[in-house]
Amino acid sequence: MSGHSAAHGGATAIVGSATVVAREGDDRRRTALELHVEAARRAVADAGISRSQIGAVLTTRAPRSYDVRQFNMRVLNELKVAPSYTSEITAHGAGALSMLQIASMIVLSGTVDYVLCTSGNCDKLWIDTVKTNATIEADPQFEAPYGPSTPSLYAQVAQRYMHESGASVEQFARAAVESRRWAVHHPDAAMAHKGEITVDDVLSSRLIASPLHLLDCAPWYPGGNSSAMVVTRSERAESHRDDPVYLLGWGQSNTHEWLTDRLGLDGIAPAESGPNLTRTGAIAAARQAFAMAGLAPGDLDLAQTSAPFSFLVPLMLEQIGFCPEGEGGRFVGGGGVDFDGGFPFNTSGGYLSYGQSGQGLYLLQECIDQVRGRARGRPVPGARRALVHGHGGPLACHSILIVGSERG
Amino acid sequence: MTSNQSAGTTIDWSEGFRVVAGHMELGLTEASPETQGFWDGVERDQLMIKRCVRCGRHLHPRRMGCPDCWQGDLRWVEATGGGTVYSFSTVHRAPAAVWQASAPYCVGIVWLDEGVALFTRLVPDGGGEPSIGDRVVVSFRALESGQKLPVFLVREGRS
Repeated sequence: MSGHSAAHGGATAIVGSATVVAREGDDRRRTALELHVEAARRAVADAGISRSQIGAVLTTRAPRSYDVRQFNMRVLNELKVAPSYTSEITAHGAGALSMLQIASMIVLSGTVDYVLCTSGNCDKLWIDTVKTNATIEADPQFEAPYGPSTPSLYAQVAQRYMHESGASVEQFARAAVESRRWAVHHPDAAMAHKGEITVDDVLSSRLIASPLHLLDCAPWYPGGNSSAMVVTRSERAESHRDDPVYLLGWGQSNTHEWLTDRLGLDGIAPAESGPNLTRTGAIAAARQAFAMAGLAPGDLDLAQTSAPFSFLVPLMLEQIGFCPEGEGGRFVGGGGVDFDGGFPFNTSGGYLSYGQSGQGLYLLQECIDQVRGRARGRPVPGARRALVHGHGGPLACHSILIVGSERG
Repeated sequence: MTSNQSAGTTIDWSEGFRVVAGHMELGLTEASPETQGFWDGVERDQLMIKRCVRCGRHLHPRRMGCPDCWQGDLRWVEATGGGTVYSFSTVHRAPAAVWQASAPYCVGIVWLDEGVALFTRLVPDGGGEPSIGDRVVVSFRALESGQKLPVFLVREGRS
């Protein structure tokens, strides 16, 4: 992979982290800024550093429910810190994980020692997410006037995936069923209280946008959450805590803007063999991440992926490398990610049953909690290495991190 | 709200051309300098796309330059209006009330015979869902927002 050095794998670590959750019905309706600031304070305390040691503050792009320019300045202003460097890191829904990668590059430069990263949204508390989401997911001039919903944009990819690989709606439904089984054990999961579901439940739920049924679609998180992380060089992390979480490998791919634009992409990864909707940047991002970490998919104990629709579970599984390309549907259908006995995947319930709250690091927080042996939901016994994937766009930006409780 | 500003007029970005659907504003969907020729074509029931004067590749009407040649000399050409269904989805739950009244309706992507992909409304012959590979032909209709748009009529049978 051009531009990537294996030397960086494990050279940086997350030395402090915190996730703050807000729910509909809380006594007070909280803003995204407030959540970022609280998560930041707690992450810095968890890291055991003073505010004067924070050399850079990075944030994700301004949350839709707090849509201001230079959101990063609002955060550092509230914290009363004066870092040398600051910026929003934006790459649609992949931006949050990208932020951790860029934080690593900053501390590896030696310019500063600690980078504070904040992420999170609470859109559902403030705006109508169904009505407004398609307006940011679709090209306003050439797609939005036709009345697409966000599910119908992703469904274009689902139809092609079924056509090209033979994956079936029953296999997609299986992914939703297994996600729900993990969610039932997680105290923060949006759908935990709904209990387990069956493939028939998914297929008999109403169609939202063919071939996607209601239970093939992630619910917006009924509230919001914010996660903050402190990144530093590994040797420094080890000097003041015995359980840093190492960033073993990372990768990214950013390819287009609107869905239709994707079909103007050819000749470059991941569309080397011609325009398509289904070979996503997750392939390139995963290759980079595994190469940097010196690991293979079989070395991982668990993984999380941003899959707002059920068909993305098998598609991302195959593209990250947990099964051969084109085999994702059969892998899921054959029990490959079953709650009982399958590879632990989306262990907090995933977007499908934990709920989606874009631009977050809550999937990374789940990885951190698992490899530290402090899972809030069902633990994966002995977990040491985890992969987390984030995407946005739709399917335009992909970012992957591999983290572990041991440096090598 | 059926007309875009005609060629030759100054585009007023302060007012824009807005599509409002129920309580939702879709944002600025007015013809922009690089797409004016497309919307002028829609007014004439002509489907206009772009072509690179250097390499001859046909391009999406929104392209400002050739992404392969990295140069900005493009010209408008009329597409034949024929193509095939690349993908589709029937919307049952619309994003806003103005569209929900028409649901279920089918949105999809067509590959024009010139090799350009367009997002569109698919109108299956006799209802039902189209299939990937079905032949399509362009037509021009005012959709729910009142805006006149190119749509594609589906002819059953694969190309």
